[in-house]
Amino acid sequence: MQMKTKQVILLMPLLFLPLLLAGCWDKQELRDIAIVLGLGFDCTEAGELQLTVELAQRENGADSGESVCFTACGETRQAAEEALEQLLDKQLFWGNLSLLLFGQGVSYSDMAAMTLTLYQDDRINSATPLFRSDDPAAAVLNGHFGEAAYVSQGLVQAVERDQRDSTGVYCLADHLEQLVNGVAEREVPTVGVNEAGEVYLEAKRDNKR
Amino acid sequence: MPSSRYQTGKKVALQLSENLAQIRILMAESLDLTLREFELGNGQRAATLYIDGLVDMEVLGHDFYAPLQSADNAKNYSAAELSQRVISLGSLQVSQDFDQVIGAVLQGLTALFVDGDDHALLVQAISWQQRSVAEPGTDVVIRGPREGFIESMRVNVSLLRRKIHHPDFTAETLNLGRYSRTDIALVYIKGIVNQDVLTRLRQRLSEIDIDAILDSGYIEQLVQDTPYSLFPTIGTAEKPDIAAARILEGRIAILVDGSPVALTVPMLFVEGLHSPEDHYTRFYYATWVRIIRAIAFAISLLLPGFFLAAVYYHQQIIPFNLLLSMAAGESSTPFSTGFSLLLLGLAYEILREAGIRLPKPAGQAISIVGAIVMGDAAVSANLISASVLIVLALTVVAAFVSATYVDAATLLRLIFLLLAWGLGFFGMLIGILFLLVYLCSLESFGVPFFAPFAPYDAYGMRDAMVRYPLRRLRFRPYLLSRNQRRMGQTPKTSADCGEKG
Repeated sequence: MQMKTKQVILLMPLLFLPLLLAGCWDKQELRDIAIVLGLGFDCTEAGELQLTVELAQRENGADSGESVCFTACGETRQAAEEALEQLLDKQLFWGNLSLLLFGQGVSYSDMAAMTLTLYQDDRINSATPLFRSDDPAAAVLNGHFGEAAYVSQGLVQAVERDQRDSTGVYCLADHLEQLVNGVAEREVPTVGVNEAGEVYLEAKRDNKR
Repeated sequence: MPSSRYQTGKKVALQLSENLAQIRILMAESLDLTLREFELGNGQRAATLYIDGLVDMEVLGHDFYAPLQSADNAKNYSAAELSQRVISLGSLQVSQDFDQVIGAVLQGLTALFVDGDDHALLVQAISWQQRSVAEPGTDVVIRGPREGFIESMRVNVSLLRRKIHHPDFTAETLNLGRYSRTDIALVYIKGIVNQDVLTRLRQRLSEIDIDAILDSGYIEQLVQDTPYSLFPTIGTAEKPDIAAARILEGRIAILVDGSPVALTVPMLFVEGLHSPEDHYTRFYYATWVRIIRAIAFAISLLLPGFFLAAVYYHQQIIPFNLLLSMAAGESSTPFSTGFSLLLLGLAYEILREAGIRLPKPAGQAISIVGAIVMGDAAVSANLISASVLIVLALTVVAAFVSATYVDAATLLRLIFLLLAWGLGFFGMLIGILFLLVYLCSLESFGVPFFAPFAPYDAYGMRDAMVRYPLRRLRFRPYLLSRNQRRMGQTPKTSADCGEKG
């Protein structure tokens, strides 16, 4: 066999194998996706993980300006996500995720473990802002924050406005860094919700629980 | 060996009656063939043969028949003597070859046979109905000449000659088509033309054996380097100023009788993105519009694919508000985004074809109906989403910015759409790489089609995507001509003279 033919035969797989990396099995129709803006974690009394997603709602061809939240439980995050997708009959789309919220019942150790898995999830941006709350995450995401259409976006914008230094909004990557270093250099922003459903940013305090 | 019954291999006979008999055998059924017998002033028998409708009867009457019938001589005239002493028309030729005479008559010449001479006299008094020189529908300019080629090759050559008054301007003629015997002219400038290209062209034209050449499109398809190429590798020009500019760069124009479209070889890819106006306007504006054309060409190829890849696989790159509004639009339509794009593309092609072929008033009506149906009703009825419609509208409008590549863009757009549908941006990237490799592999009469990008020619780049000021374009592209100097001294500017403006 000639050298050139050999080279071509060797190069062909290199050229065509990458085609397997992408393909129509990954495609998502826009009508079949639910755009997740905020993701909240709570632990139920039964010890299950309760996932709450704040979705961008669309009506009559436009942004309705109101959020809609759905909640599902599961043994693991994956199980809860599957339950949510089944409930919505849509695939969850994480490209616009702008809030991660650890709510009631999520211990510091749970939060650390979840932070790691979230960081390893390539669908989730490591620069996603991270918050915690002593109230249920589901209640926070179902509440309303001032004039903001979406609680998640309103909260992030409020923190950005209040930011006096150049460190940026506390995010998933920041939290992981603190866990690795074992030193709490920055506080996790904390939010709460009152009985009227109004969400508020709590005063800064020690983030250790 | 004679290839048709008009090629007899015979000579013109001495006796007029023999010639007339031969003509009647050959062409008795031809309605438009006029065979007129008469006597010269000295009583010598003669006959003329011409095609009715192809000759100028007024010229023949005044300058041909009248002198012949008043010619008085003691002895018989020969055809040569008549041409020298009697007939005052300018273009005369004596021939002994009977087939040549018949061929000339079929081209519109008038043949004169005289009794007692074995030669015929061919008189050029051609005149037939033709449209006047007008501005063509394509290559419309705001600034620049308005005249366009017409269906007469001779008029087209004269239009070029009027622009290039130089003895080196050459118009070689040849005859192609067994039945049509179409006149073809190769127009070039001797000192400038690339001889390799000219030799190749002559060779390929000499190899054509076809029954008829009805338009320059036949020649284009028969002589191009890669007959199955997506891109045209032979340029076209409907205006003499475009053809003249290309001839002056070292190209060859091929003019075909009966076609108002001249072909120019060799062709480079960038020609399709140029307009004749680029050289008539200020260089910075010409550069700007060339960049716009390149962007429009890219849009016409890639936009639907890019849009589909983003919608199907890479939603992250779509801004949130746009994504939300697109998702809302999509959720109310029955078809998927990819199918909507295909469907709308097909509907557009049907409407375009109908609009072109129909008579003008009906074509306009179709366009309006198409615009309303596609633009408004389809969106209102939630058949397609507004974003799909906007993408397709922008694509088809962009395609017409570089009209030369409309055919190629239509097909390539579909290929890119399918690649994006199946593989997202990865597929698009593969498609773009293959397209670039393909463009680099094309040649036009031995000249790389993708020059001056590949092979890279720094000087050629001055008149490719950008257009340098005219005074800095002193040389022709080296791939097109061996005689490169185009410009000598340029007028001095105020700065050169040290004057204050």
